[in-house]
Parts: sequence; C-alpha cells; structure tokens
Amino acid sequence: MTEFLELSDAAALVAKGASVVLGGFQLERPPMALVRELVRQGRGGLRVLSLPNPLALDLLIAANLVAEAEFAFGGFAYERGFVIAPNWRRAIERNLIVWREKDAYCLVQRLRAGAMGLPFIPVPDADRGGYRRMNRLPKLIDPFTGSSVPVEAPATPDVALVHAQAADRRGNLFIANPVADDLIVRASHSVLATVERVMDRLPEITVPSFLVSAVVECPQGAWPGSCRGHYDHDAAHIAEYLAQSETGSLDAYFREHVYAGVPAPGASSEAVDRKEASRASSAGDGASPRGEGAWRE
Amino acid sequence: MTPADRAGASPADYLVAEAARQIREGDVVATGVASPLALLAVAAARRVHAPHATYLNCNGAIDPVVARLGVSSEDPAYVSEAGGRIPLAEIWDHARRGRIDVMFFGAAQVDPRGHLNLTAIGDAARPRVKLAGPAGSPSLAHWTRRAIVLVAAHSPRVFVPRVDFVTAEAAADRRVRIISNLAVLSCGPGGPVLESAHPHTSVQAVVRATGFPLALPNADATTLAPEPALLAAIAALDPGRVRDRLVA
Repeated sequence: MTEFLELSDAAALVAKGASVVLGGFQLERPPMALVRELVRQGRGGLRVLSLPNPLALDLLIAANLVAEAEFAFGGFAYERGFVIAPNWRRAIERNLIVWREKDAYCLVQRLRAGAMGLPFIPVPDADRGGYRRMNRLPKLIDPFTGSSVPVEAPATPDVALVHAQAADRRGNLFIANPVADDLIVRASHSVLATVERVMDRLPEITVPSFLVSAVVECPQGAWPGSCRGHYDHDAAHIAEYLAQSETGSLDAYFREHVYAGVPAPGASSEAVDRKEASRASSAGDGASPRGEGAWRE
Repeated sequence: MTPADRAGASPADYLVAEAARQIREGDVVATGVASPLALLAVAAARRVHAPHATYLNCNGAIDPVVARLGVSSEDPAYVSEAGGRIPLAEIWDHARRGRIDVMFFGAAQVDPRGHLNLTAIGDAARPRVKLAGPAGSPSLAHWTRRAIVLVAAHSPRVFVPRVDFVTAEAAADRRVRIISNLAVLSCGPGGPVLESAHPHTSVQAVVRATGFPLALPNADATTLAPEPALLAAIAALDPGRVRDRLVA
C-alpha cells in the first residue's frame, strides 16, 4: 500500500548511505523538494545514480551528502547558456567524492537489468575508447557466437526519487513525459514521489501504485526545475544558485532556500513544510503554466 | 558584429545549414543533450528538404514540433505537440539496430582520427578541468550510420594532435564529418582533410586554426552558401539569432 506522507516523513525513509536514483531529465522534473529535505535531515553518505539530472545531483554534492556518484553527464543549458554543474565539477576536480563516469548506455543497461531481475547484462561496444580502462568492465563469451562481450551489473537502487504531475488516491502516478522515470522506478526497491497534486482519476497510469512506497503532495516540488504543464524552470533562481556556487560557499543559499530559517538539520519539520508550502502558493501565482494539453483539467 | 557574407549568412548560418544538408529526406535523425545547433539544423531540414525525416529527441519526443529554438535542445516544450514519445533507453536500441541515420555530437577536442573528447582536460581520473561528460556519445557515435560533429569555435585547442581522453572512439573503417564555424573537415582513415572553408574565412586561416596538418585536395573549395529557403527556415526558427551567440 502506498502511504501518503508529509515531505519530512517521506525523506526520512531514505537511510543514510542509501543508494538513490534521481528521476527527471535535465531540468525537467528533478525531485528538488525531496533533495532539499534530504539536505535538511542531513541524510549523508548517499550513493547516487544520475541519468542526466545535474541540478539535483549538484545540490546533494554541495550539501556534502554524496559519498559516491555514477553518471554520464553533468551539464545543462538554460537561458544564460550551457553550464557544467559547478559543485559536481569541483567535487571531481578536487577528488571529494568517489565517482564513476560511463556512457549513458551503461547506466541504462544497468537499470534495465535491475528492472528485469537479471544477474548481468551485455553492453556491447562499451569497452571502446578511454572508458575501457576507466571502468574495466568484465567480459563474457557469448555462447551463441563465441565472441567476447563486456557486461554490466544490474542497478537496483534502494530508492528512486521522482516528481510526478499527479497521483491518484491509491498512489498510482501520472508523469506526462517520463523519459527514463518509468525505467528507474522498476529498477529500484522503493519509490518516493512528490506530486503536483492528488486527483481522483489520472489521465493514465505511468507508474503503478504497487511500485510506489510513498506519495507527498508537494506543488512546485521540482522547483527550480520545471514540471511540464505546471511551471517552467526558474532561470533567475538557477542563475543565483550558480553565482553563489562560484563563490565556493553555498551557506547563504542553504540558509535562505533550504533551511528556510530552520537553524540545523533535524530541526522543526513543521517550519520546513510551511516553507515548502508557502513557496508553492507564492510561486504558483507568478508561474505561467504552459497551456499544453488535454490532460490538464 | 557577426560577419555575414553577401547572402547575409553568418558563420553560425553556415554551420547550421551545412549540418542541415547532412539530413536526407526519410532519414531517422536523433539529437542528444546540449545540442541547440543540431536541433536548429534538424528543424530547418525538416522544413525545407527533408519533411519526412523522423526526428528523435532524447527528451522523449518523436517528431517534436519546433516552432522556435528554445533555451536547450532538450527543452520539455518540444514535447508538447510531438508526434509521439520515445523512452530515453530506446534511443540506444534504435541506434544499435542501425535505425538511426544521423546524429550530431559536440566535442571539446577532436584529433586527426576523429576521436572525440567530452570527458576532461588533463588526466581523466583526476581531471584538471572536468567537462560535462559523454552522455550517450561513445555508443551512439559508433552505432549511428552517419555521426556528424559540430564545433562552434574552431581553434587549435579543439583540433589537437591527440585528445586528452577518448570519449567517443572513431570507427576504424569510416570517416567522421566535422562542421565548424570556419570549415568542413573530415577525419579518419587516410588522415584529416579540409573539405571546404566557409567564405568569411580562408583556407590559410583554417589551417592556422587547426592543431594538426590538413590535406587540401580542393585548395579553393568554399562551403556552399546556405540556399535561400534553408537560410529563411533557420532565421524563422531562431529570430533572436541565438545561434550567433553559440558560435565563435
């Protein structure tokens, strides 16, 4: 049964040291409210897998919560051009995290193997170029052709963090354009979802409730990323985040936008929930939803 | 001030038009993350000479309607009126099965064999400068029938004798086409070749801006000016001339 929880109780389901896969794609639907709550609760030592989702990973790294990260890409484009996620970049250049960079194909295959319950999966041609030595994948002999093929291990993250357009009251999720979210939810052991709203009836079920451990109704939960049909990404805020990241300290950013007046991790979750809620109501006025579609009421 | 030739075409117009020309009617074309110039080329080609090209955007859209160049090639706005959806993972399935004809790639470094570096400057295990990373390029550049490389700022720092890291290894048996703001090159077996220089520069300038020797089989080859219809399509898709800011 899917539980309907407050943000703080949902994030508390992520154990310190858990393996986490981030939903969304680039600036679309990153699970930022959940990420901010993980920061508030100081859920550290995370092992993060990111199909390109640079903003969420960057914030977790900036908060010093990431022990290991596996990824294929750390950049994104917005109104002011193309940027490389600054805290991700710094952590790699200064050797602050354990990281594995791979062809995104390897991440996709790992998740597919996880979703299918396979013990390993071929990744043909993943042993070409510089990543051959960087990742040193084991090889097997294909018994049907006799040729050698590199293989990857399945990825079965402890938890997938996703943000969806809607959930119904059973905990089924509707995601307008899942990109890779339909894959990561099947690979993971549990799914924590924030949703723009809870509805009686979804346009269609993208993620069935039996995969979903907890749903949090959290409008603006992808902010400052976008959630199609509801709001665009917040370019001004992303610019502020990048500018503060360049100073080498995000203390002020965390105070203002993450802790929201809450002095320390673990402090009053009510104040935090109020902050996320007030952001939702105020941002909701200014954000012009893109009028897109049939599935909107 | 962006230089424009007599046709009113800027270096970015030459780059985008030449990229659009790589797309033939009926092709299956894909773009990845951070590829705004490629997106512009695909959208222009579909408007002008390849209306039945199928366009797969890694953001999940099949045949997205691109009315205007957005802030990123993976802008979710493109999905709005798309013909259909494609899960991210299926891009590799189609490429692996040989069903993607053309895909565009970027590179921080390109070497004479056509190897691309998008990973790091310096030792990749402990990078001096971390680049954005491979995304899907190692496999997709290999499996796509015609991998095209777009270079927005042609310089000896990009065209290097040896890449610091081989992110996408060039195939041993085919050449890679590289379209820059200055020229069209091809790299691969037989060595690097200057196919043509854009008219706002010169063969000598391209040679100087390339960090390895180029064969010049067509010493006076000038890149074909964008056809008026193609130029008009590019202008209509990008009225704010974002493309000029993306290209040196």
